[in-house]
Amino acid sequence: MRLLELRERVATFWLAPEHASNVIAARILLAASGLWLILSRHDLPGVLSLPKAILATIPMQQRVRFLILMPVGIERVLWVALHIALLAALFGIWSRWSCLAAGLLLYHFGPFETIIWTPNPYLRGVTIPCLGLLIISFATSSGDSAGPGWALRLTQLLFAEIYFFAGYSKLFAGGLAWLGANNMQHYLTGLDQFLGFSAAPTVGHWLAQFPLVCSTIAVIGLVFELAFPLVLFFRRLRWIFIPMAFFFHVANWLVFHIFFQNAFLLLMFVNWEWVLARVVYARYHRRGPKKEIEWVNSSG
Amino acid sequence: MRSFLQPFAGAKELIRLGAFLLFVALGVSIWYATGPARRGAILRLIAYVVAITVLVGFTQIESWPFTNWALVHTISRAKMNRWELIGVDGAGRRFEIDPQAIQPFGMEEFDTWMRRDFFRVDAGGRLEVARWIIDRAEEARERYLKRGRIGTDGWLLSEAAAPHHFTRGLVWRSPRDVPSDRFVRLEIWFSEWDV
Repeated sequence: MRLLELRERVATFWLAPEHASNVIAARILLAASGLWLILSRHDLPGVLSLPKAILATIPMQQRVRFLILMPVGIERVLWVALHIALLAALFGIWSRWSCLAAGLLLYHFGPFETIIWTPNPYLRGVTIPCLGLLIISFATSSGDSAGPGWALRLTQLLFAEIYFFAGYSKLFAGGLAWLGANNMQHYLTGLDQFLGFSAAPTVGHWLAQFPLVCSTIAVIGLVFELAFPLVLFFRRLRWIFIPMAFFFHVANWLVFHIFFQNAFLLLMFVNWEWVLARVVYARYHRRGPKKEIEWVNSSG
Repeated sequence: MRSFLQPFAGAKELIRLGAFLLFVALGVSIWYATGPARRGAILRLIAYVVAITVLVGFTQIESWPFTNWALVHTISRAKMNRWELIGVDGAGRRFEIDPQAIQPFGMEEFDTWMRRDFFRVDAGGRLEVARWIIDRAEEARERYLKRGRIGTDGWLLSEAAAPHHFTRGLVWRSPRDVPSDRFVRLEIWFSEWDV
């Protein structure tokens, strides 16, 4: 009985209705994010024109997995199709099909950027747009009594997992030693040097002088990452966690030189219905008195 | 877990493809379901996504687009190393090649390929790769001197183009950092240092 109750409660959580504007905003953010990335890597299909000696090191199984089997000319046509699909998804044109096409093509092209090293192109910005657009495509149909809220919630879950598993992976690979000041000091200094920022003083290099600050950064960062999924269940926490996440990414960029291309997708957690209601309310109140003055003037 | 999966190395990529195709199939099945069946189809997709992402996350075995999200997760090393690509002009002057020359790859990707694979390919292959690098460096040099842009990423969005995951400090900061004449030779250096 309890198991059935629990199952029903879980279903109620996932299938709870959601304002349509929040799902639309998510679709726009996912498509815009994907479009920004592919417009920033315009020569990605050209990866297939690499020297044979490099291409030969890509295992055939990986090429099959992502269907990287076609000649570069066809890949360029598909690349154009991806642009069109993302644009259509952005503007809500044939949403079901444009989101499906964009998601599938992002799956195909996503690994191009890293395939000479790894078939796992996470943290290159296309993972969440790929999955999110596919999920929105699956949810887009007529007669959806549950509303498409589950699609937004599922995409938000995938996004929250970025933080949680980034935190978990540190404990998985490094254990509690990862939190040590020494580890953080080496990261701060080593990344500065490896990435060519050591010629001039940097924030990271300065911070590395203070072991206590380094440990604190590690502990706060880890707790923040592990706790982020709470925003899925406690909406009020979003007021704290979302600005913190933006700060976290800006700090990561400045200190560790790590850029998170999906930072804008944090806006998927904003209640756009609430924002729109306030914008409309404010506009109404701004226009109200103005109209009255116009009426007074015209009648006078 | 990793060693357990080793004998299936050939099939694991196909299993990962299968995991993605199953996700698509479950999603598409929602389109064709109505009434209570639709509710069931939605919940099946949600259960599958939760299960596979949790499995991938906790085992840290990727199945992209379901992925492990590991980031600066290992214990950092006191020693670091890096490949440096040096272009040599006709007068024998050496210039470090800006990693933006090999876009759309980021420095991380190409550096890792160099470490892992460069000396595994035969001499002819290494020469082919070296020629490709020098050609890319030459194109980047010309682009930089003509348009002030090193890589190909910013052709449309210019400075608004998405940076790579690891941002690399600029190597070519002014026209003085590149030769006015073309690169004629490539040197590849491997540096190692204490952090």
